[in-house]
Amino acid sequence: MPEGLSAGEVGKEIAEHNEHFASDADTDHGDRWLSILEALLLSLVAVFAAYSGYAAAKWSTESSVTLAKASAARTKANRADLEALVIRTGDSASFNALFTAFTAGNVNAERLAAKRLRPGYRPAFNAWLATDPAHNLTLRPGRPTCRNM
Amino acid sequence: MPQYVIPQETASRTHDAQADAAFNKGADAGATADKYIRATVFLATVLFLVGISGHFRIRVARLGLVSVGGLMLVYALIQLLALPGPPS
Repeated sequence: MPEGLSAGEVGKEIAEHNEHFASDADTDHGDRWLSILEALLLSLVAVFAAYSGYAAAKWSTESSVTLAKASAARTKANRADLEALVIRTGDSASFNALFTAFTAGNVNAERLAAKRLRPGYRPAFNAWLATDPAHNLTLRPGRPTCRNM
Repeated sequence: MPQYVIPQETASRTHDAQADAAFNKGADAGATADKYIRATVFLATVLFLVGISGHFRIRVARLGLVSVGGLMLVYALIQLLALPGPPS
């Protein structure tokens, strides 16, 4: 049995080695492109994620600020509504004093009470007086401060 | 009576309308912020998938992870493009 390889066997081995080497080179080449693609994807995604996080933070701040403004406006609305309620109550009280004097037939007290009416209330009171409330029986019950009169 | 007008009542209605408008605007801004956060989560998932793909020796697995990551990136980008830019 001869030692070593024959020329034909050596040629065959070399050919196989070459094929194997070529295949490895192809694999390395493909892996390199895949790595480049991964790096590209990672860098792109990092930039987009940073932008998205930044925009989310900005919109979140915008939301908080706008909701705080809404809350402040609601507080102002409540305060104005309370002031309106106080004014309406005051107008009702002054009207009651005048009406009591009117029903009692006390002209001086009636004049005094009419003088003490709030200036903003006077147009409504005058309009109410113009309906002749003492004799006009078709009037609905209520005061000049009522919205449904 | 129509002659009975209290200015504070008008002011109250005006402030109420302003408050309603501001509340709606704030709620919309909050919803936009939430959508941006969702897009960020998608992008973070893409980072994870592409990041771990390099640790696999099997080429098909790497390709699969990168492909899924790419698809998710496209989806997140579509979402981002549909959203308004950050407020100034």
